[in-house]
Amino acid sequence: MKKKLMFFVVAVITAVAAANAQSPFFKKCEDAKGVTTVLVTKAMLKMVGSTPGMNMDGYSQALIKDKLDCVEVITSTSAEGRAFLRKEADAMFNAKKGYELLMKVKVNGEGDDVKIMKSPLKGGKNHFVVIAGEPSEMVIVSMEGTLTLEDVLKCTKR
Amino acid sequence: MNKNNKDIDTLRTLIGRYYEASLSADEERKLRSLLDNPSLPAEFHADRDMIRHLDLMLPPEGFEQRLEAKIDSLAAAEEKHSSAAPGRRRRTLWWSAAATVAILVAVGASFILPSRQQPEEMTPEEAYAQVDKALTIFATALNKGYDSIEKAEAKTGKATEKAFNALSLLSTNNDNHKTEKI
Repeated sequence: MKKKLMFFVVAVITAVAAANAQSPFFKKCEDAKGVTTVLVTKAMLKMVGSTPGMNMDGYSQALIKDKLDCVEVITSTSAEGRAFLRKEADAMFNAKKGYELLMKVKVNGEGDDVKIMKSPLKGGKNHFVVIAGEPSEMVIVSMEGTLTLEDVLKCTKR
Repeated sequence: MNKNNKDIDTLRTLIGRYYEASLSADEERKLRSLLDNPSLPAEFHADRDMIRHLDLMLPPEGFEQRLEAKIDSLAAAEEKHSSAAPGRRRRTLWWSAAATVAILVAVGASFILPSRQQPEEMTPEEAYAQVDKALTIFATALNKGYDSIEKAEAKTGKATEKAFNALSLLSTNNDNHKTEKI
């Protein structure tokens, strides 16, 4: 009886979670002042990958259509928005939350700093997060799927 | 009717209380005996007829006891059925509770959590522009990292070369010094 009940509850939770693929970080940023958020869902990615005349090579098309589950782009040019994003990103994407730091670059004097984080997901998928801070803009890119760092480099070499 | 005024007053009072349904059993019997009197004044005939008609509508003798017995037997049967299948009833309760919780969770989540649907105003072209931008930012970040590593390697290489040169120079000087001593 308990097993049946657990199965039922898990099924409901899974269904609700599947219908809500947006990350908690994105959710927090949606209502933040001076922050712009863009979410591209798996359904739209499949549509992009299947739409003819998009001027993309085969590699990019395959990546977008088959390897990406979700893309989120969060930007801010205001001081308030940048401070918010930095604070929330530090709180959300860290080792305690299961994120591994892949790369960190800081160019002193120019005010640029970049961090790339990765968190493994179920089914061989990964969640990559790029936090790119510049003196006038802060950009956070979040990508989920089976993509690799090599895929990213390959499809941007044109 | 040879009744005196007292009897008539009593009859009036009893009839009034009969309609209010506040008569005791003895008072009802007394009322009926007064109404059955053949010399009943005409003004009470309508009441007599009404009360007799209502008497005809009363349940038969012993009906109340039989009804109570039937209710008791049904209640006993219900009790026996409930105690015979407690597991089934409990299971039904569990499923009802689980279904209620699940529905509440699903409905609540749909209200609390924002909609995760793709904004309708975004075209595939715009979506591709965003994905391309995201990939470019990602690749730029990676390249920055690789460039920094290359620069660091180059610096390390130069430093190592300088160190080897310095060591070989030192070694040469030491050899010269030894030769001079000999």
